[in-house]
Amino acid sequence: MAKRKAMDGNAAAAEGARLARVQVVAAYPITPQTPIVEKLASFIDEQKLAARYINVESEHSALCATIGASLAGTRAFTATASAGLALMHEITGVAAGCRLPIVMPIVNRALPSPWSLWCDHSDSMGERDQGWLQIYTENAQEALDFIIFSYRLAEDERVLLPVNVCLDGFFLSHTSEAVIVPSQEEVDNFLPPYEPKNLVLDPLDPMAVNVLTSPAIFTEIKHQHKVAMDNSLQVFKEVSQQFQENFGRQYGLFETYACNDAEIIIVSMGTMSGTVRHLVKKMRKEGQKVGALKLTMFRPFPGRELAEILGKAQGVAVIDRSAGLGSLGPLANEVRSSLYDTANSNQGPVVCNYVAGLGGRDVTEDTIALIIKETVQAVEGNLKKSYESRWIDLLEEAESI
Amino acid sequence: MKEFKFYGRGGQGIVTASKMMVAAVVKEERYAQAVPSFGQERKGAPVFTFARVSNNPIDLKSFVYKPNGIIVFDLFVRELGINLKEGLKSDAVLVANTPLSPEEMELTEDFIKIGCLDAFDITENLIGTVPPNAVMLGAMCRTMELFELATICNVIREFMPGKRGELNVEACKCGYNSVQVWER
Repeated sequence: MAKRKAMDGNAAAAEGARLARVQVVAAYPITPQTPIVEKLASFIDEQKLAARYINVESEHSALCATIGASLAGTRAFTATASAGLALMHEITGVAAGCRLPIVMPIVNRALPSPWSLWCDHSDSMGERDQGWLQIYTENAQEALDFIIFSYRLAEDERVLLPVNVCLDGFFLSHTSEAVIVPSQEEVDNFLPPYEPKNLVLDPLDPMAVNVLTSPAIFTEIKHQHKVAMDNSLQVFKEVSQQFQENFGRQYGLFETYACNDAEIIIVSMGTMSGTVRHLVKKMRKEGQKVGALKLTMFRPFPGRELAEILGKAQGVAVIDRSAGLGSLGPLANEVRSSLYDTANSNQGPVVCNYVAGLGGRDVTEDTIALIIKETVQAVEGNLKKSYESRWIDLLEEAESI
Repeated sequence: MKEFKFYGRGGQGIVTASKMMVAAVVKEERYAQAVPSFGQERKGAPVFTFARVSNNPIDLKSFVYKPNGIIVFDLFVRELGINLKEGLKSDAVLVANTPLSPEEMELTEDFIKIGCLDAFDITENLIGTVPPNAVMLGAMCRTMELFELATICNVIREFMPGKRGELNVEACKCGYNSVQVWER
């Protein structure tokens, strides 16, 4: 029987890994991710999880050891954040290119400089083209569910790719709330024991992995990776259907609230999506035609599906929780690009990009209300349209700090 | 939905207390959320954390700016420049750790209900020099009426198994029985 209890996002992610019966955990602590691996170490010590815990000296080594464990045919897990993820960067491409179904939560924390402990998405955005799937979660329930969900998705023969499950640092990782924890039996029925379907190291039959690849076939190997990435959208939908049948909770590539007849739609990822939905519910009661779209799967980007929903609105407000220095925010770039065909028919929505919540700044109801107000002004033509992001929660004295 | 702000000084255990309050409400089949605000403060510096309680799922994930109630683990934060009246709703409730009476605190104009007790003194006598969490949870239980005493005692036992838990349950009950409740 499933149990309902209070836990924070980190505890939920650790519980998800325990229920997924991960066999190897190799991790290095870093705020705000540390409680995940501490909890898993306790589970192993208390024999609540039959796994090997490998202590390593850095995040670079953590992912290397996780790759080794996966290549040896086990279900492998690690977790990281911020500078730790940046240190892994050389190796994230190896995990993906070797097509290893590793699940690695990223507990989002701003990348320096300036130094910060607090949430934004600059760390995971730095990995967005490394060939991992990326899923952004809103609450502790999603954090638990998507660890289990992601192993099933990653291990599908049509995918065989690693997955990042992203949790907003502190706003999710350290926030306690009610979570339904499924029983081991329920999870076992959904997620069978791991069976390697690609590369497996066998001492009796040695082989080289990740070898020097000539221009004669490099493109083709990369193309296989691209096909797997594309496949994962369809496989996500199938896994989602199965998840819904087994657990009664439904997850899409994105979740819409009141978007059908919405004139303005707000696009967001992570914890701020809850605050957006809260405000949209309030404004709907006042008769305002606003809607909310929470993007769950950022990689691969479900652009076609997204355009079908957003193309009908008059204005789309995209909130990025990373600076996107030198361009728009990364989420806004994707959204604008996916709407290009609609926009060309001259009926496309006005897309406004807002940067908010950097380095742990709270994304408040007031901030979101201002975003909606400015988007309405842009739709009405009262605000100059421009190809740039608007830093909506910037202090007035910004230049003198 | 009711929203709360906890005030204290680094090391007094307000984050754990907010988590325990949330655990109690969730145990009673309702919804709750503890949103911590971690800074780089050192032990003794003024700190705060937030919580929400509701009969329905809670969408909001931001900090609390207009609390329906505040829980003050150390009234001395006032001397450190903290304005306890900031953002208060008109029907706000206060639970405070202080040897002062509600009238002596000079806060009766701003709250409709106040529960106060000397949680440091009670904790020192029953357990020793530890954070006043358990005593404050008992006082919160009686003053705020958001969860049952039996539920919070069970949460304390889960957070702190064994003899330490039982000592803290005693402290919680003592907080519940000792709190002086003033109502407008």
